[in-house]
Amino acid sequence: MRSRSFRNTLRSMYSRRDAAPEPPQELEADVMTRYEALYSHGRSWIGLLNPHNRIARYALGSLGVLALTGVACEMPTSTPVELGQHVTMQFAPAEDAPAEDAPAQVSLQIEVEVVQSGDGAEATPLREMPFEGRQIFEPELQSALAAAGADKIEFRMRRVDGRPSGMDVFVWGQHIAPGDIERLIEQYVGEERILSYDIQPLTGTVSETLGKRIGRRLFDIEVGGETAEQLRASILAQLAEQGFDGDAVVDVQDDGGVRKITVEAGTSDGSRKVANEVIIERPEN
Amino acid sequence: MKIPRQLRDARQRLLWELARNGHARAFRQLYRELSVPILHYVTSRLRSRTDAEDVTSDVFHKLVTSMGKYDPERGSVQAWVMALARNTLIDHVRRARPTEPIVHVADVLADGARDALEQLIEQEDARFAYGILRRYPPEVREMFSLHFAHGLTYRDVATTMGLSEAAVKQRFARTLRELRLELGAHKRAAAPEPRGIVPSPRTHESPHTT
Repeated sequence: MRSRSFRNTLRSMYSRRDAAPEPPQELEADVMTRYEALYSHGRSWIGLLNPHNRIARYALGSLGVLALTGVACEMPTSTPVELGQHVTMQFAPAEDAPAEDAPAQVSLQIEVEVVQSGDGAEATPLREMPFEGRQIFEPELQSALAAAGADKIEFRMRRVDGRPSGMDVFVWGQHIAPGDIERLIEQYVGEERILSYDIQPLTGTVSETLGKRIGRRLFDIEVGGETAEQLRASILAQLAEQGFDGDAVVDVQDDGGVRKITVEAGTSDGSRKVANEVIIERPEN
Repeated sequence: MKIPRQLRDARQRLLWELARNGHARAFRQLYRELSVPILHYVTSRLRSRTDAEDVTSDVFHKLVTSMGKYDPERGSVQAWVMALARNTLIDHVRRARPTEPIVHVADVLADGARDALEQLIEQEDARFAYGILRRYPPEVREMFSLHFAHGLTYRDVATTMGLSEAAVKQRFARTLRELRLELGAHKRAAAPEPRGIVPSPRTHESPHTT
């Protein structure tokens, strides 16, 4: 069969009697409004006065506060920052993948913010912290991401009928490029395994108090198929074993097949308490 | 007049570069060039026109906030926006049907709302080819749809689906080869018997018989 007529045959498979639809007018207006709110200000300093300019608002807010109060070591500032990348992966169906009946053992990393006052305090750089705990998801990928500059990596596996259907990877750190993450995903997870993946920035608002340093400690906690009470006791015991000497409240809720664990912890020097919510998608015991 | 693909891609890259530096008119032009194919793509996969417009709106909202993420080395602007549309579509389908298995999402990406497609295919050959293609995995069907229905190059198909160009080319080569063989055999089997002329029996007589 001749190549050209064969390709024409394939094209005619998809030919439609109806024409491509026209987008509604209001969509263009809406999109342009969003664009102008984010981009047009960059053309002129006048744009800094645009009340819809999010970046300018933060900058002006900070400057205004400092101008009013002078050099204020205690004045708080809020800055939106990109903290890393969030990779969402959908796996190709793998009928021969074994369904997992046993409750999953999941390693968690619970992050506690420690605010230390005084100029002499040293914040422990995140990059120097070891990756403790059992790494049960894609250990080679995790190591490669760490070597490429990630400060912290979290995995969350999604399952349908007991079989892996996808995975979320949270790559924390501002020193690893999205391009490197994509390359490593394809290399270690395998293109044939992935139906699709998407990488979006992880953003957050970092609140700092000028003159103070922020350090972080990471605790690796294992959770399994215990009852809620057993899980609470286990998490508290593991925190204590790893040198955590503050106050921790563990709340476990089981609802509709999803277990939600909330850990609120704070150090004994009166620093802020941080709530970490972890959702484990697996059947209840 | 249809503009050659390379020219279109080059122009859209320029428009993108201007738009990310604050040129609103360039962004408006880029939107007008992309909104039709994106809405076409989304509409072909969702039954509801309202849902399709909502998803398309989400796609362009994401485009506005992620202008800096486009990498010209990875493909055309249109392919990159198609990838955004594809991922937004996945999110939409999963939100609408959270308990559906992943295979359902893959089928939507591959064939979409095409229950009546076979009736739309007028050519018998194309209908037969479509029947063969339905036996292939959703990923392959999606590749074919993106290439033949939406005009993406192999490279742009790879960018949209998050695959390597080599993998896409390999899949196409193998599938096209198999389709061509099956379609060729089908045409030969369907061809009518040749109408031959049965020669009358010859008698050998000497012209010089006396």
